[in-house]
Amino acid sequence: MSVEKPLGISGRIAKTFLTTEITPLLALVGLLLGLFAIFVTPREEEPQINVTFANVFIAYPGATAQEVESLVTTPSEQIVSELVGVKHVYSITYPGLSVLTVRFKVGEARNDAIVRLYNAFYSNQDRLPYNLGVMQPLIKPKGIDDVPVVSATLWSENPGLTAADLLNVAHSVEAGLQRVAGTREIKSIGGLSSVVKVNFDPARLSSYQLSLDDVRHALASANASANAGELVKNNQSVQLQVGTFLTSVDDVSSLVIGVYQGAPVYLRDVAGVQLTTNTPAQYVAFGHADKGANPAQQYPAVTLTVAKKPGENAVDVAAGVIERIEQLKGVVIPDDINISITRNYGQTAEEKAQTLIKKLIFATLSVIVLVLFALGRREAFVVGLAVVVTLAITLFASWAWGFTLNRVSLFALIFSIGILVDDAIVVVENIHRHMTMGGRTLKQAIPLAVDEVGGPTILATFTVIAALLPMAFVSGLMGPYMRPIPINASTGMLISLAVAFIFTPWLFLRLFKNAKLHAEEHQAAESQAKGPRYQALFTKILSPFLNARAGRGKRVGLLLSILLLIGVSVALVVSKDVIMKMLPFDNKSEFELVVDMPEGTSLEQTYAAMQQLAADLSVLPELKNYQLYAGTAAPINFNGLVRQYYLRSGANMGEIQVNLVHKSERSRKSHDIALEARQLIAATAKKYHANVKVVEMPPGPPVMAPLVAEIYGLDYARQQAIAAKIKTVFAQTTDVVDVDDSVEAAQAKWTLVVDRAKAAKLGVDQASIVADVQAAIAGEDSSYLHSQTRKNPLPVRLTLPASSKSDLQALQNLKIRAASGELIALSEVTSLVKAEREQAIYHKDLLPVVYVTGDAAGEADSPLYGLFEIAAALDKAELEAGNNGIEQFYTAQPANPYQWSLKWDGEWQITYETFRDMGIAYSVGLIMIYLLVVAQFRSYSVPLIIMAPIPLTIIGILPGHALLGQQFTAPSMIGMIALAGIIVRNSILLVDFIQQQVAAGKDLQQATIEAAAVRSTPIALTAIAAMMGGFFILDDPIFGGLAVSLIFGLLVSTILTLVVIPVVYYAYNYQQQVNKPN
Amino acid sequence: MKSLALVLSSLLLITGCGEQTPARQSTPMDLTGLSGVAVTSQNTEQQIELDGTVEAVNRAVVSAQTSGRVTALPFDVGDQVNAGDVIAQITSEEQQAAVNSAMAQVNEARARFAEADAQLTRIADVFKKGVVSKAEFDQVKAAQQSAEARVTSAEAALSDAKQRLQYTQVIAPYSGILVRRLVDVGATVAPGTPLLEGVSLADVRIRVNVPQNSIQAVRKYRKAQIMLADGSMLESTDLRISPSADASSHSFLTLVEIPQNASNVSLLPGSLTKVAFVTGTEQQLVIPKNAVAQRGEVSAVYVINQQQLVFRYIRLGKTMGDKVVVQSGLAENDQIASDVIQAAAIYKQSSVAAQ
Repeated sequence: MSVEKPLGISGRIAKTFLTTEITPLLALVGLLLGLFAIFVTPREEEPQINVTFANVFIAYPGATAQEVESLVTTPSEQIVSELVGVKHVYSITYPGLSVLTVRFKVGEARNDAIVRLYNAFYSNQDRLPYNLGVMQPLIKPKGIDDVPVVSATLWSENPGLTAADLLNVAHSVEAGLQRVAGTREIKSIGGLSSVVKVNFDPARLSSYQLSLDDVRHALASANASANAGELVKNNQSVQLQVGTFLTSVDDVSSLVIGVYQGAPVYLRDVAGVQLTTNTPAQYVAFGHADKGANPAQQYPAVTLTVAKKPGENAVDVAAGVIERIEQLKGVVIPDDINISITRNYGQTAEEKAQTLIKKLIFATLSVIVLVLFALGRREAFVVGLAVVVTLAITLFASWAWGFTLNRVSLFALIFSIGILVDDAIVVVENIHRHMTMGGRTLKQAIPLAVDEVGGPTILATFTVIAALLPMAFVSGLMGPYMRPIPINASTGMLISLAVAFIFTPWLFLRLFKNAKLHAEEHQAAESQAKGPRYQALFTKILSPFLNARAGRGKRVGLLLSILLLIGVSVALVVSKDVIMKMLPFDNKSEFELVVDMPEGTSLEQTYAAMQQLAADLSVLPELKNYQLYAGTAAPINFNGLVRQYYLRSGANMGEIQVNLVHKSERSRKSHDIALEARQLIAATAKKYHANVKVVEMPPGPPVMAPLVAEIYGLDYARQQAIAAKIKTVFAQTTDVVDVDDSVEAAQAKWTLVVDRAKAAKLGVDQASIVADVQAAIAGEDSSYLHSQTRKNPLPVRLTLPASSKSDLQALQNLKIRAASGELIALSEVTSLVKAEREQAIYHKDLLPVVYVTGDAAGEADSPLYGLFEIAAALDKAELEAGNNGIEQFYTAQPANPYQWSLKWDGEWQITYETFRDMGIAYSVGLIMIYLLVVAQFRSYSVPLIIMAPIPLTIIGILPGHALLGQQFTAPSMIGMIALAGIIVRNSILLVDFIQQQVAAGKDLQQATIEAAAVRSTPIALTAIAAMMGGFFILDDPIFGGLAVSLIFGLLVSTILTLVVIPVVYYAYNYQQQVNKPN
Repeated sequence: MKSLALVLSSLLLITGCGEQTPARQSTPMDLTGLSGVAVTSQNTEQQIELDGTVEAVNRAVVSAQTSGRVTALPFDVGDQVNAGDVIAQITSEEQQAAVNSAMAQVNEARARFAEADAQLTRIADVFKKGVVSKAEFDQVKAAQQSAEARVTSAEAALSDAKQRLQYTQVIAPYSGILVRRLVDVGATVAPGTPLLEGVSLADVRIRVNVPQNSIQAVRKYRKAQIMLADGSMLESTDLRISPSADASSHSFLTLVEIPQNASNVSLLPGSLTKVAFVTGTEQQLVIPKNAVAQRGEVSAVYVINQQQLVFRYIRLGKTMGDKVVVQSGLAENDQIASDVIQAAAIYKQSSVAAQ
C-alpha cells in the first residue's frame, strides 16, 4: 500500500479538478444547461419517427385497370425502384388512375428523398407521348409533420346553422390560426361548400335549338373582364377596365344564351339557377356527453386541423392555437357556434413530459434516500448533487443530439438513474473507505481512492454502454423509436463517469473538510458491525458448494437446478403464460372506428350506418365526444399516416373518431374500452353489411394491420379467389377480428358506347359527347361567381338536376351540336352497355398482391399467436380444388411466386425485424463486453465466468412477466439487454476482489467467501438503486415490460450472482490451485 | 356567520361560473356609448328583369292616294311635323281640270233642272184646268225629277273631283317626327306608293317577351318597373298580355304602356329597355349595411340583449341601398349594435374582464 505507483487517468483527473476553482463553475454551467434544455426541448408524447413517403397519382382517364397497370403503374414502379433509399413501393391501380406509394427507408433525409423522386419522374417524362391521355404525375410527399397536432370541431345546437355556415366560419378562422407561430397546414374537414347550380333541362334546351355547348360558352364568355390599359384625358390618365364579372345569381340566370325566333333565350328559361350547397361528398357530425347531453344526439360539424412545422414544440403551437381560438370568439366565431378541442397533442405531450419529469425527480430522490440510509447524510448529499448534475448535462446532450422530451427519452433517463448513481456511489464509498483507513489528509487520499476504483468503474461503465449502444443501430421504424434509450443512457453513463471523477471528489472534499473525525468514527463503527454479519451469512451459504472436490456434487446440483430454472422460465413462453408481443397497447384517450361499406354503397347509406354505430357507442360511460366522418378521412394520426387513411375518401368509407375522458377520470384502460366497443357495434355492423374495424393508436410504429397476409401468384383473379378462402380461415380462427381483404365488392358499371361510324356521318365528335355527358353527370364548373369576401371560389356548375341523374332517358335526350350546326340527340349515336366495374389491382414491390388483414383481440391479444394458428390451419385448408395448403413465407417476399404463395406481414414483420435486430445488438453487445473484460483481466476464460450470470437474468425476467401478467415486449427485451451490462459489472467487482485477495496471499475458498461478503453491499446497493428507478416505470403501459425485466431480472440475478460467480470461479480455479503445489 | 354565508355563496357562484362555457358571460357588459338600431321589417317585391323594346303607338308610313308627280316635300328626316301640316305636294293639274269639268257639269244640270221645273209649273196649271191629259202631266213631272237627280249626281262628281285635288296635298295625320323619306321631289307616284314615314314620340309603349315560367306571376301582379337610362324607375300597371304564347319562342307578348303623366320621359322607339315585372311580394327583415360585421366569410351582428352583446351569425340577402336583407339569424325588433368595431371592442374587453 505504501508503494507510490503512478496515478491512473481517473486519479489524475480527480487530482487536477480537486482544487481548481473551475470545478464548481463547471457543475453550475451543467445545471444551467440542464434547466435550459428542459425549457427549450420540444415535447412530444411519442418520439418522432422520420419516415418519408410519397403518394404519386397518375391519372389516365377512361383506361381500364389492366391498361393502366401495364402502361402506367408497372413502368412507374420500375422508375421508383431505381431510387436509392426506397424501401417499398406499393401501388393500387384503379380504372383510370394509378396510385403509387413510395416508402423510403426510415431516417432517409426527407428533402433528398423527395428531390430524387421528382427527378426520377421528370427525367422520364418523355417516356409516354404527351397526347396519349396519361396525365402528369402528381407527387404528394407525406411525413410525420402532416399529422395535425390540434383539431377543433365546430358545431352548433342551433338547427338554423347548416354545415355550409359552419364551413364559412371555419374558413374565416383558418387565417387567424395560421398567424400562430409554428403552424403548418390548416385544413377544414366537412361542411358544405356553396355552389351556383345550373340545372339544365335537356328537353328545353333542345326545344330552343340550343346545345350544352352554347350554355357553356355563354357562361364562360360572360365572365371575362380585364384591364385594358390607360386613357389620357385632360392631362390625367384614366384606367380602363373592360367588362364586369358575374357577381350574383341573378346575373347568371339573366344571361342570354341565344336568340330563338327573335326572342332572347335566358339561362333561366332552360335551366334552374340557384345558389345552393354542393351535393354532399361527405358528412361530418359531432356528438358529446358533456354535462348530461345525450351522446346519441348528433350535430353537423366541421373539423379544423392544425399541423405544426418540423422542429416546433407541439405544446407551444397547441397552446397558441387554443388561445387564438379564444381570441376569435366574438370577433369571427359567433356565439352560437361551439368549438370543441377534439385533439390536443400539445396537452398530451405536456402531460406526459410533466409526469415523467416528476417521476425522474422522485426516482432521483428515492435513490438519494437509499444512499442516505446506506452511507450517510453527507454522502447522500454528494451523490444526490452528482446525479442532478449528471441528469442536467444528459438532458442538455439529449437536446443537442436532437431528441425531444418524450416518453422514450425520459424513460431512458429514469431507467438508467440506478446506473447513473452507481459511479458516484462507488467513488464516494471508496473515498469513504480511504478516509477510515486514515494516515493521509483528505486531499491526498481522494485521488488515490478515485484511482483505485477508477479502472473497474470505467470498465463497468463501458460494459453497460457496450450492452446498450448496439441497440442504436436497430433498423426499421422501431429503430428511431427506441434510439433515445441507448443514446441517452450511454451519454448519461459517460457523463456520470466524468462527474464522478471531476465533481464528486471536489464536493466530497468541500463537505468533509471539517468532518473528518466524525466520519472516521462513524465508518469504523459501521465496518466493525457489518463485516462479520455478512461474513457468517456467506460462509454458511457458499461453503457447501466450495470444499474442493467434496463440493463437486453439490456444484453440479447447483448447475443443474439453475439450468432447470432457466428451462422452466423459457417454458412459460411456450405455455403462453408469458405472451410475446411487439408493444403493448397504450392507455390513450382515443380510438377510431374505420368503417368500410361494400363498394358501391351510397354516401347517405354509409352515413346512416355510421350514425347508428355512433349511437351504439354512446352507451360507453367513458365517452367524452365523437366525430363522425362519412365519405372522408378523419384528421390523421401517426397510425393513419402510415396506413394512408388520408386517402380514404369515397361514398362507402367513413371513420368515427372516439375521444374518451381523461385517463385520470376513468378506471378502464382504453384497450378494454375498445374491446367493449367492438362488442357494442357488432350487431349494427352486421345489419348494414359494414366492415368496421376498431383501431387503437399503436404505441409504437404502425403497420397496415396487425395481421397481414399477402397472397402472390401468377393470376390475379385466382389470387383473389384464394384470398377469399384465406379470409374465411382468418374469420374462423378464434380471437382474430376485424378481418378484411383488398378485394372489392361487385359494382355496376355502365358504358355509353359511341357509335363512331354513325357519329362521324352525323358530324359529331366523341370528345364533345364525353364532355357533355361528363358535365351532365359529374357537373362542370363552367364559370365562377366573383365575390369580395369569399376565401374559396364560388363555382357556377353546369349539371343535370340530381333527381334526373339516375334516369338515363333524360340524359339521352341531351343534344349535341354537329359540325353542320344541327342538333343530334345523344341516343342516336350512343348505346348503353351494362357491365361490372373492374377490380383495383394492388402491387407490392412490383408483384401483384392481394391482401387479407385482421386484428387480434381476446385473451392472447397478440397477433403473433393468431398468425401461427392461421398458418397451421392454412396447411390443412383446401384453398384450391385438390390442392391443400399454400407456400408460406415469413421474412421476405417470395423470390419467384410461380405457385400460390403467402407472405406474412404486418406486426409480424416489424416484430421479426425488431427482435432480429435487437438479438444481433444483444450479441454484438456481449462480444464487446467480452472484449472489454479480456482487456481488463488479460485472460480468455475469466471473462466467460464473469459473463456467466447473463443467462440467469432469464430466471427473473420471464417469471416476473408471468407474475405481473405483463407481455414480453420489445421494451422487456431492452431491459434484458441493459441487464447484461449491469450484471457483468457485479461479476467484475466480485472477480476483481477475489483476484486481489488471492494475489494478497489468501486462501481461494476464504477469498471467495470474503469477496461475496464484502462486495455484497455495493452490489446490492447498485441493484436496489436500479430497481428503484424501475419501480417508477412499472405502471407505464408501454415501458412496464422494461421495468419488470429490470426489477425481477436484477433481483434474481443479483442474488444468484452472489452465489454462482464465487462458486463458478472457485470451481474453475481450485483445480489449478490444487495442481499448483504438485 | 353572515360573512361565512357570503363566502360560501360566492364560492358556489365561482364554481357555477366555472362550469359554463367561457363564450357566454352572465355578467352584464358595460354598453355605455354603444348605440343600437332595431331590425325592421319591410315589404319588398320580388322581380324578374327582362329586356323589352320600346315601340311607338303611332307610327305610320304615309302613301300617295292619288297619282301624279311629287312637286314639293317641305319636311326632311328628323323634322318635327305638326298635325295638319302639308308634308308633300303632288301635281294637281289633272285633278284641277276634273274639278272644272265637274263644275261645268253641275251648272249644266242645274240649267236643265231649271228648265224642267219651269215646264212642270206651266203644265200643272193647265192640268188643273184639265187641259192636258194626265199622261202628259206625268211625263213632264218625271222629266223634272230626273233633272233634279242629275244635279245631285253632278254635285257629287264635283265633290269627288275636289277631294282628288286635295289628295295632291299630303297632310300630317298626327304630330311627330319624320323618320323616313321614301320618294324624292319629281318622282311619279300612284295611289299606294309610300311617301314618308313618321312617328309620334308622345305615345310609346314597351314590348316584352315574357317567358312562360313567369307569366302567371306577371298576370297576377300586373305591375312593371321600367328602368330608365338615368337609372330611375318608372312604374306601370297598364299591361296588355297576349292570351297565348308564341308557339316557337314559348313566350308571351306583353305590352307595357307608359303612364299618361310621364310624358317627359325620353324613351325612344326601337331602343332596348329593361323592365322588371313584379312576381311576388314578401316581408323581409332589413338592417343597415354598416351594422354587419363581415369577417372573412362570416357575416354577423352584435345583438344587444339585456345588457349583453351576443355575436350572432346571420345570412344576408340582397343589398338595397344602404340596407341589407337578413335571411336568417335575426328577428324583428332585435336591437343590434350600429357600430361593429366599437361593439367588438366592448365584447372582447368584457370577456377578458370576466376571465
